[in-house]
Amino acid sequence: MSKLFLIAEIADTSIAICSEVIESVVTVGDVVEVPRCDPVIAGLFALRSRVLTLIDCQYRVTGQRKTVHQKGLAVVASIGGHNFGLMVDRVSDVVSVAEEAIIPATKLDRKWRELVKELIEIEGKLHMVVDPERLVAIEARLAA
Amino acid sequence: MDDLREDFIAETRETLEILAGQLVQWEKTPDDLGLIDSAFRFVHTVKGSCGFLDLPRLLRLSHAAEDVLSHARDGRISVCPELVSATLAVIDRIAALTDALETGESVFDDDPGLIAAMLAFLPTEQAVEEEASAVGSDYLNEEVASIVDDHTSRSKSRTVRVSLNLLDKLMNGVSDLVLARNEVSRQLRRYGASTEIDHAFGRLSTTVAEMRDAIGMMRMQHIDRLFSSLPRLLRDICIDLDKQIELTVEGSEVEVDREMVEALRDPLTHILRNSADHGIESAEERRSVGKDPVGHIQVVARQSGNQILVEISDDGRGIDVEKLGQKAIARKLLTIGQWQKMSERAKLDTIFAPGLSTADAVTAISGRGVGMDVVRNNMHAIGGTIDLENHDGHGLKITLRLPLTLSIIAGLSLRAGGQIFGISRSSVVEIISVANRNVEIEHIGDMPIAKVRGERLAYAKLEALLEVEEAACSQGMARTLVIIRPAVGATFALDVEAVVDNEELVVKPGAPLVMATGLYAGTTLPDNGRPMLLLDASGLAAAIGVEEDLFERDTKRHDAVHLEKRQIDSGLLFETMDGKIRAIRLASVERMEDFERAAFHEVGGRLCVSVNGTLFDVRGLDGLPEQSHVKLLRLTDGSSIVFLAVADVIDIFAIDGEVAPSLNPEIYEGIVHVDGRPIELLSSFSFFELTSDAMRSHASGRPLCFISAETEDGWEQRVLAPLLKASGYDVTFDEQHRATASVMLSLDANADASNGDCRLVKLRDSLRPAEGGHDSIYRYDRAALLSAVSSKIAGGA
Repeated sequence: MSKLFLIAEIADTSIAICSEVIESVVTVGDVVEVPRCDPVIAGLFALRSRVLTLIDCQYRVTGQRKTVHQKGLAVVASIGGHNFGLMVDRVSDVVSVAEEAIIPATKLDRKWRELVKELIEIEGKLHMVVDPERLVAIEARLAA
Repeated sequence: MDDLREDFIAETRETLEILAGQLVQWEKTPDDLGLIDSAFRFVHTVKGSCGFLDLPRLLRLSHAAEDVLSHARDGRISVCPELVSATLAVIDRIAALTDALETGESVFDDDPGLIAAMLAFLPTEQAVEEEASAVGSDYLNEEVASIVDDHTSRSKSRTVRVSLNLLDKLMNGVSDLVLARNEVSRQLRRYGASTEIDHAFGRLSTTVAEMRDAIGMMRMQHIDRLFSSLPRLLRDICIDLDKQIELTVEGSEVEVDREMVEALRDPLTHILRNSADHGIESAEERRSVGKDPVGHIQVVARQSGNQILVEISDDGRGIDVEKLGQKAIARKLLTIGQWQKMSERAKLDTIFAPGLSTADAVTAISGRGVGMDVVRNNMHAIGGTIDLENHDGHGLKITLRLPLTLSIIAGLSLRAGGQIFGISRSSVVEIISVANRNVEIEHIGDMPIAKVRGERLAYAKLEALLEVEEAACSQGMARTLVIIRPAVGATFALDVEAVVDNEELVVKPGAPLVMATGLYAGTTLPDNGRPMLLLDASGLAAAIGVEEDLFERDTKRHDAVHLEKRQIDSGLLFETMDGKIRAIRLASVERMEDFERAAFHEVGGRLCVSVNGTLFDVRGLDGLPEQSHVKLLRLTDGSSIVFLAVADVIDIFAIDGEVAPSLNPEIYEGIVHVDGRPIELLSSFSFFELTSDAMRSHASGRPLCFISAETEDGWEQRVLAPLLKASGYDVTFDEQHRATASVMLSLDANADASNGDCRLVKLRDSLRPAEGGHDSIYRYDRAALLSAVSSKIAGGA
C-alpha cells in the first residue's frame, strides 16, 4: 500500500501533505479579512459557490504573517466539515510513498513540532508531513 | 429485516404521536367509539407487525390490549377511566419498548403485571376470557382488515419516508445551486450575453428558486407534530398533581422547520410543566379567589413574518415578583440594593437566572430551579427569544419567538471600514441616520452613549469593535446608526458607515477559529461573489459590554445606558477653570459640550452662553473665556439648565463613603473621598437657586395670562406682555384662550365681562386708587403686580 502526498513549500521549507484531505490546489481570488480574528486566519475567499477560510500557514509556523496577494496558491482541504484554503508558497509535485517509508517524527524544531507527526523519505530526502487538521485546530491555538 | 424493523419503529412512533392527543380525549369521553377504534387499530397494527418481526414482548402487550379494546368497542364491557389508564400504561410500555428497540437498551420486564391489570376488565373468568379473545380476534381480523384498508386509502396520500440526512444533503445541494446560479449571473454580466442566453438564464433562475422553495417546504412540518403530545403530557401532570386543567391548542397547522420542532420540544414541555405545577393553583385556592376551579392553559402557534410565535398562557397565579426577589437575594444571586434598583422587567427576568424558582416545594414535576435558564438557552441556541408577560395573580403568558428556518435568513448588509458585513434583519429594530435631529451622541467621560429620541443606548462604532481602520474616503459623510436588539443582552446602537442592502442570505457556519471570536454568526456568499461575514448581534453586545450576565447586565444597564439610575450615587470628578479638582453629583450632569468663545456673552452682569438662540447661565468662569473653546457641563435640576465651565473631566466615581460637612455650605455640599483624597463636592443646589424663572425650560407648564380690553395706546402689548413673559408666564390676547388662562389682567376692569371672576387682576392707570377701586393695582407697581399674578396662580392651583 502506498499513499499519495502533495509536496509544497511553507515558510521556505519543503513539506508534504497527505492527498486524502486535499481537494485541489487553486489560485486565491479576492480575500476578505476577518477582523479581530486569530492572525492564523488570513481571510475568506470564494471558490465557485463556496466560502473558504484561508489559513496563513507561514504565520502558524514562524509567527510572521504572509502578505496575501492575488494569484497566491492555496491547497483546498475539507477539515471537520469546513472548507479551508491553506496558503503555500508553491506546489512542486505529487508523489506516491510506500507506507513503510512513512516514519514517526522525532526531535523537531519547536515551531514545527505541533504540526508534524510523521516524516516521509523521497529520493533519499526527508520531508515533514504537515497535518492540515493541526493547522486549523482551535485547541492548539488556545494553548499556544 | 433491519429495514423492516426501522420502518416499524418509525411508523409506531408516528402513530403514537398522533394517538397521544386522542387518548386523552378518550379519557374524557370514554364511550366515544371512534377513539376506541383508533386505539384498537394502533395495538392491532403493532400486534400484526411484531408477530412478523418476532418481538414477543410487544406481541403479548399488544395482544392483551387488543382483546380488551375489542370488547370495549363491541360494548361488551363499559369503558371507565381505570380502563383508560390501564390501556395507556400498556401503550406507554409499547412506546418504551419501541424506543429500546432502536437504542438497544433494555426495559424492565413487568409486562405481566400491566397485562393482568388490563385483562382484569374482561367480563368473566379465564376460560371464558380465552374463548372470547379467540373468537374476538378471529372476528376482528376480518372486520379490522377492512377498517385498516379504509384508513390507509383515506389518509395515505402518496408519501415516502426519506432520511433526514438525505434531506439535508438535498438542501445543501440546492443552496449551492443558488450560489452557482449567482456566479453564472455574474459571469454573464461581465462578458455580456445575447438575449437568448438571458432568456434561458431567466428560466433557469425561476426553476432554481422554485426548487429551493419546494425543498424548504420538504423540511417543513406541521407544528401539530409537537402539539399532539401536549394533551397527554398535561393529563399525566394533572393526575400527579391532582389538579384539573384544560388545555386549548391553536394553530396546529402552522408549519415550521423540522429541526425547529425538535428544538422546541424540551422548552415547551418544560414551560407547560411549570405552568401546570406553579402557575395553576389548586381547585380550592382558585375557588377562593373567584376563579373557575378548572385551570386553563392555552398554547397558540402562529406565523408572523419570518418568525414563528408560540404563546403559552395560563390563568394561574402568575409570578410573584417580590418572592422571586427574596429568593434571589437569599441565594446571593444579587443584593437587596441591586434588586431595588432593577426595573420591573429586569426583576421578572431574574426567573431566568440559573438555580432560581418561586416554588416553595420541590415536586417531581418541577420546582428544582433547573429550568427557565435552560429553556432560555435552548431558545437562544436556535436563534429564538423568550418573553414573559406577567399578570400577578391572573396568569402568565410566555411568548417564544423563533426564526422560520435555520439556514436562510433575511439579512442586512452594512459597510464599515470599507468592508461589507451582514447581520440578521430580525435583530435590527431601526436604522437611523446619525445626522437625524433625534439622534445625539453624548460623551460621559470617555464613554460614548447614543441618545435616540430621548432614550439612551449603549453605543459603539463597528470599526472600533472590529479594530479596523475607518475608511478614509468616508470621512465627513453622514454615518448610520443601526439599533440592534440581540437575543442576549440589551439593545444597543451600532454606528456603521452605511447600510448597503437587504437580501436573503444562505448562512453557513464559519470555521471554528472564526467563530471563536464570538463576533460572527457565520459566513455567506452574497450575489456580488465576495464572501461576507455575518455579525452576531449578541456577540457584538457582549463586545460592547452591555451583556455580562443577567444581574451584571441589569446594574450595568442602569449605570451606563439609563444614566438616570446610576446618577443616584455617582460623582463626576473634574478640574475647574482655575486648576482645582472638584466633584459634582453625576445626577445633575446631563452631558458635556464644547463651546466656541463666540457663544459666550455677558448679559446683565452675568456670563451666559447661547444655545440655539436661548441664553443659559454659565458658572465657573469669571469673565469671557480666553480660550477659543471651553468645555461646559450641562447641569439640570429637571427644569432649569445651567452650564458649568470646566478645564477637564477626570473620572466618574461612586459616592459611597460619608459626605463630610463643608465649611462653606452655600457652595459645597460636603467633602468626599476619592481614592483617599478629600475632594470638595459642589452643591448642585447653589447652581439653581440663582437661576431666574425665565431660564426654566420653555416646554410646558408656564402659566397662561390672559390680557383683555386693550387700551388704545397698546400699553398691554408693549409693556405688560413683555414683563409677564420675562417673569415666566405665557401671554395671550385671544378671547378663545380666556377659559384656559390661569390669570386674567385688565386695565379697564369694571368694563370687563369677567368682572367678579376670581382669576382677575385689576390694574389702574393712576398711582392712587380711584374711588372704590382698592382691589386694583397701579400698572407700574412691578412688585405688587407680579405678586398678585403669582398669588392668583397659587390660589387657583
